[in-house]
Amino acid sequence: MTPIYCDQAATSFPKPRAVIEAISSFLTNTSGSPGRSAHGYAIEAGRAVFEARETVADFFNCPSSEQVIFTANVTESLNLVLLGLLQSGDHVVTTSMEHNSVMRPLQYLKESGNVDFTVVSCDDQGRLDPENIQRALRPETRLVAVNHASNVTGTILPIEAVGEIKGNAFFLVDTAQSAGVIPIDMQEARVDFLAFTGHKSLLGPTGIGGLCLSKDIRLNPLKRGGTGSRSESWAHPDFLPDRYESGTPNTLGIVGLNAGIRFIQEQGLERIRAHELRLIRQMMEGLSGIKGVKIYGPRAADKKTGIVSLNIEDKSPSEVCLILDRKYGIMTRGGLQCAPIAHKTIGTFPGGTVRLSLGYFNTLEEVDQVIRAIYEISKM
Amino acid sequence: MKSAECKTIFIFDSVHYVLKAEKVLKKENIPCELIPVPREISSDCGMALAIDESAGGVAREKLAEHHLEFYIFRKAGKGYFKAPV
Repeated sequence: MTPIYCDQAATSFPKPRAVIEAISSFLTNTSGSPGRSAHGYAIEAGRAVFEARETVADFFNCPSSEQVIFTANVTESLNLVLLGLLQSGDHVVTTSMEHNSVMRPLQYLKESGNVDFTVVSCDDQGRLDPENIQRALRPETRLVAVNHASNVTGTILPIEAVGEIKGNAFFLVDTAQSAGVIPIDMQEARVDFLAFTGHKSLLGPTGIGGLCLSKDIRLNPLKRGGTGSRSESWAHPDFLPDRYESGTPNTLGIVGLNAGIRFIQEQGLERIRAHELRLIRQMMEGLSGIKGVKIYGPRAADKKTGIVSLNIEDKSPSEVCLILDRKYGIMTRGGLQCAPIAHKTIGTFPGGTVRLSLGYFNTLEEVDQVIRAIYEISKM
Repeated sequence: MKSAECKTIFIFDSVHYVLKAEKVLKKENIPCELIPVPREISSDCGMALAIDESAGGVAREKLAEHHLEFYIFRKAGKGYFKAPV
């Protein structure tokens, strides 16, 4: 039984050969500590980190590469903004499709830090009306936080439209599900904080993510420590990117991220998106015809990423996912996918859904096999 | 490499800016070399750019065009003196 990987939204698999080779080559040949020593290997490591920053800045149209901060993952990037920016009396506007990586820090800030937030409702397909964001703005609104695409339904949210109406508030966009899938121009969309992760559609390894800043914005850093700069001083550096990065970075992850984005740029984002649209259209057509299967999210493929959330009548998501995996070798994610509020929005709380998520390396043949498996399970 | 002799040393806030400067200068065909920051200048664990004195002026211009901030040091006997930018 050939395994079929349909959990790309959790982490992408496989990775491009170029990513594996870049990491392997770095580990074998020049694995030094960037920005610390001044010998050949450290310089190579420093160059690798610098080049990756330039690649990321170019990819998202971030004004300058020192405004690209590397973190461990998008959750850390989101925490850096939420915990670093917000102060007592601040207000945040967010949506009812957000992941726990936004909702949990906000909830913590509300309970302990006198920060208020408004959750703007999306419809039962996960779609956002930007006017609802505008209506929720207050004089004390410091931040608008929106995820670019839902990790439950794949619904793409209109960040450009939100950028136009957000007023004086800073704008945070969680691109965990959209980076590497749909084009993002942070200057055009007026994004102040673009949070990204390396291991999903950017096709890099786990353990690397980042935050792009629109300008030199002051956040309270999450950590302070050694940066390889101004070492004589106990005062943590004030300049970018060192202000928000301390300790040895995940150099291997950064090298892999760079290779992943370069791969995407070589293939072309349009080509990647076109392939995913073919997969999604076929999947939606095939599944819609099965009695007892309910699909959530937008019907039109171009309104979503490569995610299809569904339920089969009289079967729990965990049951379906187990059969899919054990009997058919089809790997999916069942339950709430760390986004309980999204499930409340689409009406699947607390049971959750079976989430199929496809990517550039999935094939139409695999889609057909998934459809057949879902059909057989619905008849069980 | 003769290290810092006959060269102007450009110092930056961190290795990020050193590498950015190197990229800018390489694009403009201004020869430069990455060297450890001379101990007489700083105890920082960092790198600096050593540039021929004759190219120092053009280098300063190009780096300023790219909004890069730096300090300049020139050799004086066994040590260095900080030159105006």
